[in-house]
Amino acid sequence: MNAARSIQAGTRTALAGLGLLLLLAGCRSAPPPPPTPAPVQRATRAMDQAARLTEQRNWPAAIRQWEAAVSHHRLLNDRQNEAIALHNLAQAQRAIGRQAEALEHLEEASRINRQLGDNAEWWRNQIALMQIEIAAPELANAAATRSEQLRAIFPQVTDPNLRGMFLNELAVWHLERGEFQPASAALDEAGQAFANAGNQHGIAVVTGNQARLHEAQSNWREALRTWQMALARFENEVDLLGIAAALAGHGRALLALGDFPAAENYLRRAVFNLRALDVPERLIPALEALIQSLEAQEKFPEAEKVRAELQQERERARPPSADQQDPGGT
Amino acid sequence: MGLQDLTPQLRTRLSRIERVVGVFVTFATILLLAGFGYYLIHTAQRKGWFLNKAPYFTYVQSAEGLRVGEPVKLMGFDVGWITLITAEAPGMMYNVYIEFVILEPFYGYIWSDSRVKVTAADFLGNRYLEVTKGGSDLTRQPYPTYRETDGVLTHVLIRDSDGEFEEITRDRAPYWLESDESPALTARLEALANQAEQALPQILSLTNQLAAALENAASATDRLDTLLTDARPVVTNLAVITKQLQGPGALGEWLLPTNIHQQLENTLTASAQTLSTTQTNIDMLSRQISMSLENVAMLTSNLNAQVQANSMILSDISELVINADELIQGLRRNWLLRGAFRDEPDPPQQGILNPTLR
Repeated sequence: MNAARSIQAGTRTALAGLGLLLLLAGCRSAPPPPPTPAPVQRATRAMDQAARLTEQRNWPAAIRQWEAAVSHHRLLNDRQNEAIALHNLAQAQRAIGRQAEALEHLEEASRINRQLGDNAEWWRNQIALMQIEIAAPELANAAATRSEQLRAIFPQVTDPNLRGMFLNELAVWHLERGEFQPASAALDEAGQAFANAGNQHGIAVVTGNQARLHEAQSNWREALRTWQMALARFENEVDLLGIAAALAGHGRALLALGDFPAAENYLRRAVFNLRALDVPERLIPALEALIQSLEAQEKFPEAEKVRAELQQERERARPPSADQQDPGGT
Repeated sequence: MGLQDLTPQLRTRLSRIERVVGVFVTFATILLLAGFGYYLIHTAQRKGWFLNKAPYFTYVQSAEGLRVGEPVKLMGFDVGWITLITAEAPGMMYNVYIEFVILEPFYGYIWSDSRVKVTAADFLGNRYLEVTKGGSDLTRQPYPTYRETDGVLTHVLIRDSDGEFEEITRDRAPYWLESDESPALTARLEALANQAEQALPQILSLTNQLAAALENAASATDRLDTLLTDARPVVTNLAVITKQLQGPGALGEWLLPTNIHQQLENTLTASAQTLSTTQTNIDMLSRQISMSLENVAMLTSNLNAQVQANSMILSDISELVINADELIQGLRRNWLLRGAFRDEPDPPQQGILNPTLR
């Protein structure tokens, strides 16, 4: 009897002990993580702010923040992030026409990534360099050399996004030179690569470039159909610049097809959007097309008004003289 | 096994152990009783069990924020507590009956001119009773509310006018103290906010009217200035003409009738009266504006005072937020719960690159 009672008491004690143990284990939390050192915090904050400013297209402020991010990461000897900050600094500088500085910073970022063996980032640097060189007629030789060099090592690239990006730039390069056949092939491949990566925005851009290719070949009906597809894709991706470009493309195609009132409608909407987005390099051709559509309908007073605006935009888009240039930069 | 079955040595040893146990139990019992006694004495002192308690009552319009057992204050001390809160019968003048006791010796401060203030305690709508010290009313003779003999309360004041006392009996009602009731802080703040809200459109309308009046005045003076400038040659011409009209035999004496002076005087008197009335109106308007501004200043000053008086509430709220954050952070790190707080990992940093749209 006593033995049974002592066994019961022992069991109760053991159960209570087990319950207590479980309770203690359940209430246990890991110690808080150690605080991030202040220099690292500063560097991270600079990167975050710069990314936000870039997203808002506030270029001068973004440039200052990317410069700060470069300095902070240099002090930390964080080469990888320094290269990323340099790349993004170059992109912001390119957006406001400081191409020379952008090229310099991209080359520097590319050197760092080569040393670190970061192939993906190195390719991003190279593609960005190629974009600048293709857009500048005086750098056509450099663009040709780079595209040839990159094409030679392109099979090594496995990331479908990077493949799509490079092929799209290659297509633009061929399009600039009037080489329609290779441009078309590159665009098809680029579209396939973006589809493999699930990059809908990339697909929309490729569609837009295909429409431009049709325009260049004066295949206006096909151009109109492709611009319609591109517009729908840009709308899905909420890409404002893409939407404006697609509207302008619509207008140009309709103008060429002789539907002047519809062309005027599309071109007016494109001009409004491009004016709001402040993209003079796209606004000027849209204004020119709008003048043509108005004159074709014999709306000469309105055409004169648009011509005055075109003149103003041309004045504004003229590159500043050497003494007026922004002295900023790293 | 019985005690008689044990060996004598074992029996001796056991009885020694029993003695020790008995001493220990006795000592523990004494210690327990002493502790309990100390606790009782301490509680009695704290709660005033051995002190005389003088019962009082008062009437208020609302029992909001008052509870039985809440302390009653006198000169900042907790001198008693509320013993009963009940609603009056419908149709009575007062709404709520509150009974409370005041401990010895504090009821000595409570005279016939003492009053009960029902004061807001905090922002949460709580209120408390505060009895004012009596005996200082110069307009009428105040009397103590209770009288004691040999440390026992024996008589209670029944007539304030001539200080008549009556012996305390079991069914004798407590002494009545009149109350000054102020609503809870939240209700006052709400009323204040409502008042401010009502006054704001009027103030804005007043400022708009003032702005319009000033604008009109500016415009009028501007036009007057232009008019005066334009009228200067006319006045000069008039001066020349009137000069020619003066003098014996001049045209003026023939043309101007004799009553024109009288009419001119009447016109000038009427103009002076109009100006005087306008002046009075403007004075009144400016006085009203001044009063409104004073009210606004008082309102902001009151708000400022409230915020100053309750400055600790902000630090308390801040501390609460910090503690809550620490609790959540702790839960996020708990091995059992951290799954519920799992964040999406940040995408790796990479250079910005967008495909070119030709």
